[in-house]
Amino acid sequence: MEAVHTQAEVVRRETVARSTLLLELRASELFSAGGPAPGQFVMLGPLKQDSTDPFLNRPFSIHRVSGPDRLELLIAVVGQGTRIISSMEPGRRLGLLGPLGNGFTLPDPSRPAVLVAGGLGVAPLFFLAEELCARGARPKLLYGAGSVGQLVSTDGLRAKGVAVKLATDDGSAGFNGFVSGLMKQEPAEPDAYLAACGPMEMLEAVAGVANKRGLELEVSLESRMACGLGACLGCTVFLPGGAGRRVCCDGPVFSAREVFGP
Amino acid sequence: MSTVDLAVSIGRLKLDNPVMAASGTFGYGSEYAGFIDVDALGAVVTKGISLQPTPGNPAPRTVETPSGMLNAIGLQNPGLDIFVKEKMPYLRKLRARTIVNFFGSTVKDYAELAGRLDQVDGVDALEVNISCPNIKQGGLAFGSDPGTAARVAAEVRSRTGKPVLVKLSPNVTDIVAIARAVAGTGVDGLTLINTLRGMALDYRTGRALLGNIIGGLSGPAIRPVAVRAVYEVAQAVDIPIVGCGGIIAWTDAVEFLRAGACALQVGSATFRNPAAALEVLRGLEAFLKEAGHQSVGELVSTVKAQ
Repeated sequence: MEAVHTQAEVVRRETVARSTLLLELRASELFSAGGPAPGQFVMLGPLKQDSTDPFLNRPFSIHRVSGPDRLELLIAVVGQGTRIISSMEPGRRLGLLGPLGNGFTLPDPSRPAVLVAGGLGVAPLFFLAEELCARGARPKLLYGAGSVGQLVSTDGLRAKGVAVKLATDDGSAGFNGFVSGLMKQEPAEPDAYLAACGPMEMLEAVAGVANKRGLELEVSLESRMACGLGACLGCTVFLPGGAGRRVCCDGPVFSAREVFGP
Repeated sequence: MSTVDLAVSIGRLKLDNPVMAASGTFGYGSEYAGFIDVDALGAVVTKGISLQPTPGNPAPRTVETPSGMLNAIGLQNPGLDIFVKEKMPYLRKLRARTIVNFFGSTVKDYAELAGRLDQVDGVDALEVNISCPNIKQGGLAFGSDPGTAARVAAEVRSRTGKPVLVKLSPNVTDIVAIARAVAGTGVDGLTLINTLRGMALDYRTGRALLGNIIGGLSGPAIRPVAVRAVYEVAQAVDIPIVGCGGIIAWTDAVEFLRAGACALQVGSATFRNPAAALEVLRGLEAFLKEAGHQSVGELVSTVKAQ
């Protein structure tokens, strides 16, 4: 759908993991024409209407669509902007620009789908997993984080039929090691669709496994950006061939081959 | 109900209203078409164009700072030919004027670009960028010295019959000297100001927050610097000044007009609010009406000392 610039109302705010906030917003205009697709994102802000500090809007992946006019965002509280967001009471309104970006290619429900998440990269993969379930697929989620306290609950996904496997760097839950290591342990499913989101090093490791298995992988990238609409060129990433692509509107979802080379 | 004449002239360039989208903050116009009526703007100033495609700087390219932002995009653009082929068809159809911002790495580049843009249908005016702090060759190097700046301006002026604006840098000791030199070449107007050189670090690691280490500061943080530059230059030259730097509200626009600008560019504010430029325009129009002014010009250069 075409993106809109609208107002969103904070409905719920909850700490769901260490320094990780879930923000539920009501934004009916965002759903007026088909609604957002998995992998798309929104820009929030200005965070203080009458103040220019902080100045810019902030991009967040759409974590879930939680109702006919509601969406959820997963937010790491790391800086001034996210601290302000973490103090927003229900009822508070703020600007919202979206849905932005291209989103994941939704595979045919008959294909096996494996979603690989690193840390907060799990945010858009919830939306993707739920959409795949709604289309009759039974996706698998491989989800890694530093430690058990940083993992967001996956009970809701499991209840919908998603097979979830966890990994932690310190072994406090699930596989002891990186999620790319967990992925290597998993049997290769021929013709599987793979999607991944997380830190760049993790995506590169996941792309290596996918490549070895000859599987198609889509990765969702992160970048600092000012506008979110393709105008500022702040979020450009350079691909192996040297071409610059805008994360905000050429992505954030790219083919792993495009990002890491064949 | 009284009506206000919003039309302004910047030399030979006529605009339906004084509010433009600043270069580098509005892409090539179509990026914002889904959010605002681009045609309601006085003009769209394009992202800077060079003869050859320019890849731009390594990431990260932007960082937020108090009441503003640093950018080190590095003038990424597809080059003149692709710009004309792919971006002009949209811009040409606009009622809003199209001002093409461009830059080179030699005086010859500037001359060639001016000559070729002169032949492009739908380009209403040129804005010469001699003030970008983010590229090693050219850009600011041409805008730091009165003689060099005037040489570039004169060369461009001789290659085109279209109106020419020259965008000046605040990163100089004496902007008035440069403005005087450029004004003497017969260009139509000056755009004041481009970004201020700045940088920011991660205090824990010492890591520079921009890939290019140094970038250009924009946003409300630089507004007083821009208003001062407009004021000083307006005292010294007779050609029109387009004010730019930290305008986010119509009150800021009025401040620039009073300081001596006859038209305005809204830049980084558009990142925060795609409708910022149009909200500035509507607010300015309402203010003029309420104050009983008949034209924008009545506000220009109305600074009173304390």
